[in-house]
Amino acid sequence: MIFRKRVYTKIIFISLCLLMLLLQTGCWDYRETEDRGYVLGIAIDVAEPLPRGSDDLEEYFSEREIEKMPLQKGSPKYAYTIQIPIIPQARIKPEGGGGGAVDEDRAWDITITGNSFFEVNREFATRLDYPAFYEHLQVVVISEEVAREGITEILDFLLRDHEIRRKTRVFITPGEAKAVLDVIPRIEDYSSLYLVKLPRGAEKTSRIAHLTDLGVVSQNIHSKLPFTLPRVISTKDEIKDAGVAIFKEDEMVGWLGEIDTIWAKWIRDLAIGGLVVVDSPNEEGKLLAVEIVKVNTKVRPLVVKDKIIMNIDVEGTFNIIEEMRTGESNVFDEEYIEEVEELIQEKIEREIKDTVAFVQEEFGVDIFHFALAMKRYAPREWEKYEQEWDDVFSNLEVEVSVDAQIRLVGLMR
Amino acid sequence: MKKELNGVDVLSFVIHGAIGVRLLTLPRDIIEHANNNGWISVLVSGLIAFYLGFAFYWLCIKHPGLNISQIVEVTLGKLLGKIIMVGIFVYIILSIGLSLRSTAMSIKVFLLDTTPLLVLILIMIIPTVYAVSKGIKTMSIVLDILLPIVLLAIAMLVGLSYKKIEFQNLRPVFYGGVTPVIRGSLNLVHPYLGIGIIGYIFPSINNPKSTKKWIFIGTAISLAIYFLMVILTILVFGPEESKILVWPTVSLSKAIQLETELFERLESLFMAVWIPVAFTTLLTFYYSSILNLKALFNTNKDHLIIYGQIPLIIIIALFPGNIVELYKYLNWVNIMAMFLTFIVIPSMIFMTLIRKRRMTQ
Repeated sequence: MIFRKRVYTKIIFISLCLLMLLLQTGCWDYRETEDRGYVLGIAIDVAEPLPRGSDDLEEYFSEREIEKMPLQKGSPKYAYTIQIPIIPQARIKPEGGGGGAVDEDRAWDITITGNSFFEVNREFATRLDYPAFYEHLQVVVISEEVAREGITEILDFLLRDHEIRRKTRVFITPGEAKAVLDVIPRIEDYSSLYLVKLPRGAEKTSRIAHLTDLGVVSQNIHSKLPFTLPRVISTKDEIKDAGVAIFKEDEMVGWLGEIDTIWAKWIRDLAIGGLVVVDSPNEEGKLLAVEIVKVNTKVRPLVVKDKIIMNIDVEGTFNIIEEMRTGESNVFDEEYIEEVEELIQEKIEREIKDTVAFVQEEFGVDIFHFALAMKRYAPREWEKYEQEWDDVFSNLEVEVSVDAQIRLVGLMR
Repeated sequence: MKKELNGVDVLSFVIHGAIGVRLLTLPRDIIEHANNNGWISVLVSGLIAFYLGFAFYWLCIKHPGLNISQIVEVTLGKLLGKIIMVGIFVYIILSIGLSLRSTAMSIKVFLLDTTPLLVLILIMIIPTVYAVSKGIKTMSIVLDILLPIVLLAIAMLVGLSYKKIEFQNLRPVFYGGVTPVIRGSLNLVHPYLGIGIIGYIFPSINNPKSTKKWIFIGTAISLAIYFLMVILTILVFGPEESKILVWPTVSLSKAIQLETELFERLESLFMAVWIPVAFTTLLTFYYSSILNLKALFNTNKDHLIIYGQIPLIIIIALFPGNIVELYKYLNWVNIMAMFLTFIVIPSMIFMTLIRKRRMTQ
């Protein structure tokens, strides 16, 4: 009897264990990695049929037809494109046929026109057998036309959704945003990954704006500060990232060229690399280039009666990289170095003043965040000027003092 | 009651009692009032924390062998004592239920999308009840094991966000007056009242005098953790953005991404750490609740009290209709905590002092 009882308990125990196994199959939210459609990039255009040139008209319209959807509310305003990588597993090719890889599309760009991004997002499910998954989203490209109308409408979903990270980069393009995603890059597999790595070049040149992710945009919009987003232009297989678009509140107001971008970055203390080119001190027409080692900018407001002066204090260390006067040049000379330092200081001072004056005159938008300097260092005066800051900004004066230091001169005297 | 704990064990009780799931949302509540001076709010709230720590220590030392609920009865009389005990019961049970819901909701948003709320709540509550039913020594060991994990995770979060820190966000310091700073610091009363767990474990400690040092260290560590979380939120996001984020602490871990693509989706890791943080707070509150109920009804029926609370907690946890309502109720709980901290405890201290004087006369 005892033996039997023990056997029963054992059987019950083992079957219970086996039953528990059924519960161990995974959680509610389990999903295979291969079953996800990883969205790498989003492009946002205005919703209107865009001409495609050489395409056959009939084919063109039938292709466009699929991109339309009936909306619950409103009329289509934006054309959203998402880029999904075509994972190798999905394109196992039949054997034979040369062996050389056929140059196929590596990514799938799907466009649907609509108004609310979430509605469009769910409409993608009608054409996509992999549910769109945004956790690995890299870039958001917005066309100029959309940006000029305001971007809060389209950014809200991106900021509110828990899948999308605040590190996602945002770019503005003068042309069609979809065209940027359509680029077939030379080395990278997908245009989004190509594009997202471009801002790393900010260590090489200050013409690239690098602190421009969704989080920063959101911070600026919520703190009511104007901001800039990088400009990208594209060809069939290349993207260029230089210059910035200027935003006031959430609407784009204009472009800032490459050169002005450099000095705007210097004023914001965002320059992490780049160079300065000046005339060679000894010979007319020859150039001298120095590389930035480190730049520190301090902006402090000075309020005298009813006048606001912004003191911009730049401290930089540089290395001489190029001196065109190779023949009889002697760079290895104290006086020469001092002369160069002075030239650089003059140049920087002039350029910064020019850039500020240009932005004041052309846009009247405080992209240098002088307002923040006021708020932080002169909070009482700031409260007085807060309401009419745009006017105040356009008229304020700028004092620039530059301290440039040369460290190294390269391998030659 | 057996004296199973050493003085050191108080440390993990204090930290886990004070650091709860409120850590996820607290920076926003504080910054909403105090703007970029939120970190000063936390420092000011340190006064509340140390006051609570020493109030509980002092009361327990003066009444050896009694837990805080029994002390309430001794000092404030039978009727008032019972009423306050009912109040403590309501406060604790609401805290447990609402923090359960709050944890479950943040898990649902950031980790497990489609898992039902009830399942998440049950998964949290079953180990809590199990650990509590095993007795105080087991609880102490569980808390000791989880403490380094939590501290390490917080240190990691601080270390990884150093790149995004902008010290300029702290300016202008002290601008805006004292009132907003104080109002911000009052949000911390509810978390700090978690230190009250020492009032319930005190009778189990074999060398009460030695706890003084550990209560002090534990309170200081909790204060440091809140300080780091709030100042980090301000440094990374700036005051304006911090006010908009519902879960600033989780957004903080979401904002971390290194160039090397080494840590992507770091928030999953941190959510996995916040779950033990929430669990340990539940544990300490649950234990307090049991001892409080025992003192209220003068019984020793462990099982009835341990298991009888489960349905009530689940009902409370499922009661709020949405997240907005949840935070409204959590605010009410904070007001109750303020009542306990600023009215009940001082009057207990006052009565004890009077009684002592009478005794000496």
